[in-house]
Amino acid sequence: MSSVVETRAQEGRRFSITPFFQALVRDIRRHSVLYLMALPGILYFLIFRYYPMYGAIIAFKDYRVLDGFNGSPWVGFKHFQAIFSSPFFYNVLTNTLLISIYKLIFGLPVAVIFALLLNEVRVAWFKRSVQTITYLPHFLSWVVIFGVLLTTLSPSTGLVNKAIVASGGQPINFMTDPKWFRSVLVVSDIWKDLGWGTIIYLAALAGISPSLYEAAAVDGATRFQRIVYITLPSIVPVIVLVTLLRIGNLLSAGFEQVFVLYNPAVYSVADIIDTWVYRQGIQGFQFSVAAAVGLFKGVVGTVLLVTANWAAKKWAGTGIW
Amino acid sequence: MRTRTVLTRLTVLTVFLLVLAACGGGGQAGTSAPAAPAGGQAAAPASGQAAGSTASSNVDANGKFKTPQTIEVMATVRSSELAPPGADWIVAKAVKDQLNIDLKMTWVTQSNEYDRLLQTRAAANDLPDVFLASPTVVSNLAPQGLLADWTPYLKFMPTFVTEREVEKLKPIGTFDGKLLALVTKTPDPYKQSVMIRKDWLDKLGLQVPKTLDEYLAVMKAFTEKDPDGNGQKDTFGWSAAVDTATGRLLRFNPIFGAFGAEFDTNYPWRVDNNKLVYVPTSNERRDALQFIAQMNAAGVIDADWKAQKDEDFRNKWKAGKIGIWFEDWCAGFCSGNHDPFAKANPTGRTIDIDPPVGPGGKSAVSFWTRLNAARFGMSQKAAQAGKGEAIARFMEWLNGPGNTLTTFGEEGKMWKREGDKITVDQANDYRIVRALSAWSVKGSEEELRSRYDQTTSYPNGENIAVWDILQRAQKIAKVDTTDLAVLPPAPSAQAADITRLQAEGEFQFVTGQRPFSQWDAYVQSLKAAGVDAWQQAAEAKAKEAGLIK
Repeated sequence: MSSVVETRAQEGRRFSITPFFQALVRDIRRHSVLYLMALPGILYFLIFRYYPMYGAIIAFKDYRVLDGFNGSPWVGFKHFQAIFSSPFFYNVLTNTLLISIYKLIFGLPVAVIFALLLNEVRVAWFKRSVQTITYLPHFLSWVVIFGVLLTTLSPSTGLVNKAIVASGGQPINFMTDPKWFRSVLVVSDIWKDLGWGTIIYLAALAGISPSLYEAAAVDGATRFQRIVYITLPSIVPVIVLVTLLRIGNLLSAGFEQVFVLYNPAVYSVADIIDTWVYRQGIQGFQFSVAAAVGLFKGVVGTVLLVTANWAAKKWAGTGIW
Repeated sequence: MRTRTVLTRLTVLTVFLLVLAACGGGGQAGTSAPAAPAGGQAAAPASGQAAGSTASSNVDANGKFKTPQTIEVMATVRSSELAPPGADWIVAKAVKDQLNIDLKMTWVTQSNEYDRLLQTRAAANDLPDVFLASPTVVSNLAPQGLLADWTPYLKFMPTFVTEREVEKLKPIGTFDGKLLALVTKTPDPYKQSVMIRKDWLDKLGLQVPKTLDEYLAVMKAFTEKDPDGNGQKDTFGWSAAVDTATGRLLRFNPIFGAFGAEFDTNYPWRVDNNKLVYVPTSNERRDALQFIAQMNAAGVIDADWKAQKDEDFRNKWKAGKIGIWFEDWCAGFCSGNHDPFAKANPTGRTIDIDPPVGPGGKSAVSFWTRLNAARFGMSQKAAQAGKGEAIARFMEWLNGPGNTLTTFGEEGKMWKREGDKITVDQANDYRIVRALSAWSVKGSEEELRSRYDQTTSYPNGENIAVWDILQRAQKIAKVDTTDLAVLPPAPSAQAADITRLQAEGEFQFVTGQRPFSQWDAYVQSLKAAGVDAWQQAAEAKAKEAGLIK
């Protein structure tokens, strides 16, 4: 680092990158194993995440397949204007944000609480069985879950509605009632990924030093107090990390789930950006429009992530960078 | 500090590599991009001549290529539960032996994924050499210059051209004077009908309904009078579903038909007094939706219809919960399809009936077209690579020497000819061999009889002659939309919004979420969303084609 400062001082305002690379080469020699271990990860991101970003330029072009990414004519913000002037854009944007936020607000605490509960279970076989059983739905596709939901929520023969009718209520058309549909989305999402979502918290919980609990026990702390004063603070960084990553993806509300579960009765509350793009962009062969939406989502996601990280550092004292 | 330094340098390295990668990528795209259009323009006319001039030199007297050719064919398997053919597929072997063409097959096992896969490959300029495409996909690909003109190659496929009526149907597949999609007559008979539970009618002492009012009365009786006698109110007069991809109402076609409001989703038009009418916003459509709203309010439609998909609909009538329904008669009556119904309903009797007659004596089961819904497409890339002749000769082979092999499989083993009738063994292994039959079937009576001339007796006492049902279905009233196929599909930038507005609107009207007093506002919103522009384009084309003056 010092050599860079010297170079800068010597050359006045001119900044030279050469010493940087000299230092880098030296560093690579010194920590060759570390760099080698990082290489597959770097390559992965370069090839599958960064290189394809180049294609995002078609968002500003009328993409013609034969002319390629470079040869297609520039059209400026035409596609963005088309998106923002669609009669449904604000509807799908609102739906996307609401569904994402509901999933975050209700899904996160459920996963944390479930992890804490599992962590307190002392009988190993029971704990492991519960974990395995709750993981299972994660591996089911949404098409299968749609079948399950249709059967359990059916207004005529479904278990849930039979219970409602038996207790004197009117059957509810959960899958087609705009008032209920988002709840169906959120609850089914939580149910599906509950067990899976706890894995990361359980890993964090396993990393807490037992000596902390022992000391607390000696001091006479109750089990609940130990959870509140030791367990929770220890996993706050992980909770913040998960929340931040979810916030960065706020504009992705779960394409597969919505696409399989929705129907015209609930378009007004369930049509999200991704389903709209699928119908408009992919099925309609409007790849430039799809790219423009993708870029829009990326920019908004980045802004959200940076803001949330700043807020997390300010108030929770921890962020992801 | 040490970690920080390593991190900083890692970041710098990453950015550096990134810049390298971006430059590399840009460079590649930059060099290949100008080459493509140049090749496209130069090679297109040349390929036609090349095909003509090499025709005699590259092919022997039997039509076999002297040098090996390779073509990639993309197709769906016949049914999602069947595996694609393996490396020892007899059809591919025969093509190699007889034409010296190596068939490179790309099988799509989920037919509902086909359009998306094809368009994704198109977007990467990687279309298969020859494939089937829906009218919408054709209209997406044609302006991109990705499809080859079939004209120079038709001479290599004379029987195909004659038997499939290619000449007559040319205008439909022609874009800017080029035949970019090979439109053929449909090999299928008309497949739809209205079905009713005859045993329920008999039990309740009712007659077969004819008018809309009679239909509604029977539906009410089926819903309320416990026709299956199980003591529970779990039966319905009618059933329907919602289309997964578009959200459109499914299975109400005969009701729309009774109002003259049935349309082809690809071409939602009707020629009326020398005018092109957009049927979805017509008064007839509104009246039909009002009638369906009445059915819905009366509770005669399956309570789950609003959320269920087509497969769920089928399971409902198979389980014996539905009294009247609209269905592909083979999906309803062909053996295999009817088995689950016969098993679940020991006293069940299903018959096909005429669709309801509505105001002014209108009646139609659904729309139908004399065209094959899928068009044959050849990629421009394949034509430029000089594969046009091989593709055309392969198509001719499918229609001629290889026809029965592709359609039925190996003679004597997988099918037999007894007198003038072909008997086909439906073993799964043999059905796999017939994977490409959608390309080879022609719709001849012999072929149709092999598929549909079956009479089956079921354990519940039903005795169903499918051929008779086929005959009746051909004579039944339907809306012929064949001539409308020259009209352009919805403009692709607005198509999705139009579809959603329409699907959502119709759904809300029939379920009572939206009052019919808002019909005019609904029509206006559709016009503003792009229907007006579409109408203008369609009218121009209709005049050109002589549909209106």
